[in-house]
Amino acid sequence: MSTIGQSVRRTEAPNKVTGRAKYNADTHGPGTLWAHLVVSSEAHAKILRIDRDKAMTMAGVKAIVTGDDVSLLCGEVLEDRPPLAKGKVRYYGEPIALVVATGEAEAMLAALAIQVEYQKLPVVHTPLEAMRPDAPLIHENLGHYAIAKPPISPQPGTNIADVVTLRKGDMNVGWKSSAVSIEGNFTLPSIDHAAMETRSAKVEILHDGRVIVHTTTQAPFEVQKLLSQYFGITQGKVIVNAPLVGGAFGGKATVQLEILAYLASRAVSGRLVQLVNSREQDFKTSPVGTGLQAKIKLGATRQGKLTVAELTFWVDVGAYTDSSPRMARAITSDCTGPYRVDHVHCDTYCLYTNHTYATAYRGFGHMPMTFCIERAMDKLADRLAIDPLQLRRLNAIQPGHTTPTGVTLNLSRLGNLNACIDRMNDLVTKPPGQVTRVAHRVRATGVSCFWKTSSSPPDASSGAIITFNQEGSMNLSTGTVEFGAGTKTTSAQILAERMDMSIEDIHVHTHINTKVDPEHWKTVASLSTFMVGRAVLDAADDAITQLKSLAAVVLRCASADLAVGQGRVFIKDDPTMNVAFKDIVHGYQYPEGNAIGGQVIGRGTYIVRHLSPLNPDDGQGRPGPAWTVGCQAVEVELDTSDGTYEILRAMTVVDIGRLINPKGALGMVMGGMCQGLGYGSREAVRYDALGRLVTDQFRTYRTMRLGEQPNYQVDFVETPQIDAPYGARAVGEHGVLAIPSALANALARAAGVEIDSLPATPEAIWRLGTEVQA
Amino acid sequence: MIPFSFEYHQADSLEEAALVYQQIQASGQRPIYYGGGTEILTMARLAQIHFDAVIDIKQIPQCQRLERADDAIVFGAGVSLDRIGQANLWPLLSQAGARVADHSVRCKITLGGNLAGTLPYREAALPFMLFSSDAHGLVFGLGGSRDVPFKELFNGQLNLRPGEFLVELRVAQFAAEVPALSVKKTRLDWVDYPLFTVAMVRANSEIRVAFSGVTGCPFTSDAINRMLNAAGSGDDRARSAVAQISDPVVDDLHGSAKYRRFLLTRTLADMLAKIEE
Repeated sequence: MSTIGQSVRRTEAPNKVTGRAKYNADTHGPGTLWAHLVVSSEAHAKILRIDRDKAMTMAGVKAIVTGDDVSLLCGEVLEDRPPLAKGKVRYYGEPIALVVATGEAEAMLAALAIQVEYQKLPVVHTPLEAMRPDAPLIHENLGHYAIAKPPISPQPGTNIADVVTLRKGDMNVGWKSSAVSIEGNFTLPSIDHAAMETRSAKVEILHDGRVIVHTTTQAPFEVQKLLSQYFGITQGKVIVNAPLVGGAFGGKATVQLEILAYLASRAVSGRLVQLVNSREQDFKTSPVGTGLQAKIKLGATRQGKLTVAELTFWVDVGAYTDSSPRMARAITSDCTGPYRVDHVHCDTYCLYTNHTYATAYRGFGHMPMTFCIERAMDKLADRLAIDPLQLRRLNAIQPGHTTPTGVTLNLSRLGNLNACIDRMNDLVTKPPGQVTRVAHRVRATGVSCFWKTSSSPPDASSGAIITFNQEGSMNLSTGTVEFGAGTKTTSAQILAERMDMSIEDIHVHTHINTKVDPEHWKTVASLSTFMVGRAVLDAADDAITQLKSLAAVVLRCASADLAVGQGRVFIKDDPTMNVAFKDIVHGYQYPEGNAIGGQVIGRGTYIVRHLSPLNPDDGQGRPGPAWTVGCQAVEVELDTSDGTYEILRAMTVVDIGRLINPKGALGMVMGGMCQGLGYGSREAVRYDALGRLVTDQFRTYRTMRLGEQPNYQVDFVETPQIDAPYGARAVGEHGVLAIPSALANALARAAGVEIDSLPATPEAIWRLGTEVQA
Repeated sequence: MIPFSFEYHQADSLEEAALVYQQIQASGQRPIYYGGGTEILTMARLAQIHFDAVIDIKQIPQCQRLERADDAIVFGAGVSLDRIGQANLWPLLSQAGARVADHSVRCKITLGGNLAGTLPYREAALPFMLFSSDAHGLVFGLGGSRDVPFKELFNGQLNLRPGEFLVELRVAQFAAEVPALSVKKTRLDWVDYPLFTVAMVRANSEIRVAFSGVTGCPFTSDAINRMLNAAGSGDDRARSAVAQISDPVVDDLHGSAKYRRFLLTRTLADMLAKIEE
């Protein structure tokens, strides 16, 4: 029986739900030392003095490291970040010093005893403030930073870390052929990944030169590469272990605590040191998800056909760039939303502010980008008095159209957005343009569409290795980390399908060890099913070739006569003539004792093809192998008298290519929708007037709680992506993308106000309502 | 983790608790009384408070009373808000307590802890404030026990002498028999800190209210009560009542002062309509 299309329980589920699964900070080796961070209490200040004298004398303290002890700048694109602040601090919560002690309490107490003297500097609060010519400079040395991975265009003497330019078509033609235009200004806050497991790292430097790392990461191979590069260690001596990860959402694709834990271990002769973020530090010290400001102008014909789009995004990268320049390119690549627009002008700025630095967050910039374009689409629908869903249907991008970066689409690369919109049209039951009013309670539905491609490096690659147990069952080793997305289960399904075996006979290696597991670029960008799946298929084919070649000898036939299935190699036209895997996977032994063949080891690889970085002049290029498209809707009931509301229903139709694990996909999409509702309605990283982060606990950083979820409806369209394993499209991030805008569109329609910033709290709606009345 | 060491004492009697407190203090160390621990532990984790010993008083039998006695209802200071709600001897107190934190936390937070904590809300005090002439508290210290009228015991926060702790609160039985309401408003979530909580009773056709979260600590005001009992529509009375609040209204992460005033007016009007039905 085929396992593709069957709901398969996640391989790691039994241990997770019974509490037996071990996460990184759950295990402590004997003799482990503890590190604790001293972090900045200012958002922007010169460091005048760090007094560690008292702390050094305290019980259990082994070492104290400060920025003065380290000459290193880090950053995956631009090397602008000292692991420990040097000379100045650029955000509240920035690491300043690292205490290493015999125990957690000793380290904490000593950290509390370290006095830091600051000289405050003026604070930059928003990206638009950062753009001002008279804005305080956050990086005086911007012109001198090394570029680790181009492209990036820093503008020395400003707070502009990067600019991405996209030009498509001819704006004059676009505006001339338009009959109506709308403009919108949008402001979205930074958000936190708020994963259940806070970030942690353990590092030990052995006397033979090996560096053993255990970390909560989506990118173990990136950790290996960067530690090797930053500290001049042969890559082979850096061994990174990534156990199960308790939620990541992009926040663990960055490398931060690993570098600090390495510095800590180095300061104590390489002893094993553990550094674990408290929840508060996870909020304020480790990177957040991007906030941005945007201005969007759309032009369209009177019938509603988009003719032109002019977009500017000011991305709040916070104090350091991390992956923001790549994210800015991802935003730019898909800036029009999934609509055909022939004339596009987009400028995306990465701006330093005195906020917590940003990194990838589920959707890689697409959630805030989608919010802006989808709010703009609703404004256009209002202007034209066209039903919002119809306007989207009219403009939906289709095979034969080109993306903003000039990629010509076909059905395999794009999927079928029209089918998603049509399915949504059935789900919403009533045209979303209409509202139902009973006294001051108003029901309305908001809709939004999304698209996303991977925006991954053009040389991202993946590997898979298959070994066999003597009984004939298989072990599968890949480089993806399991953080709840079910990538291990999906790869097991893909292997089971190709081998025509039960998934019970596939044993997946869940913990990654960079020394033995083949590299997968990073477990990000919803690419795992595609890339790892392709590598697994390649490895399966390699194993099948070996199995057939040995079986051909045993069964005295040609390889071409053979097929595999149910743990056997058999003759296609007479399956009764067969040999079991168990008799050949570790070599075949003749009855008299002679043996031939050896262990069967399948190896497979995949490297993405035909991708190219965006051209710096016009942004043209190919950012990813394929897109995933979909349509989402949210139905609300709003009390117009005070802005309070209830989210009744949230709906998603997504073109998933091919459903490999239906319940797995459903959970993935619903989880994304829940996260999107949180972002739309309540989540925001907030700072006070001095730039100090005030939402450093779940008491103040509000997420959706159990019981607050509305009714979810998820439906799938299946338009296979031909080059993907069994046609399956990327769907990991996508559930989140258009939910905040759908919610805002619904609330805006119900309240009769323009909701162009988030979160859409009752107070915000009430305030907008009173402004409208005034 | 809590980075410092401390002693844990579980007192079996009122006398033992007070004695241990005194002994620890005499040895130059800092003791604190301990109920549910939800605040002490979370603050200690962040080194926001320091102590050398905790004296757990919630197992003391007198602190565990939850019963009707004569014509009063007795609530031990060591009883959890969840248990108070389950027993439901005083629906108004159950209602006010039921919206503090979340269920897991309410199973720990004690009545005494809610009143003695550093968070300014202290919602469990609101019902007692509305019956302050008919409510009393029993406190215990080295000098023995003191019976204190609620009005003197609590004016936004507990007034205890050094070394004293709250044993129980009592309210006249009739308090449980008059129409009463408690309403909590939040920024958005059901479980969150309050924008405010309002408790309202109608006794002898006179309306009284008590507020938490509006200006800081819980308060009642004769002037506001007068406005609510004046002639006029509910909306008008609510508006004049809120206009009486002269102290600065809380303006924080959860909501602006302006929104609080607006929502409070609406809430009072809704509550008046309900209680006067």
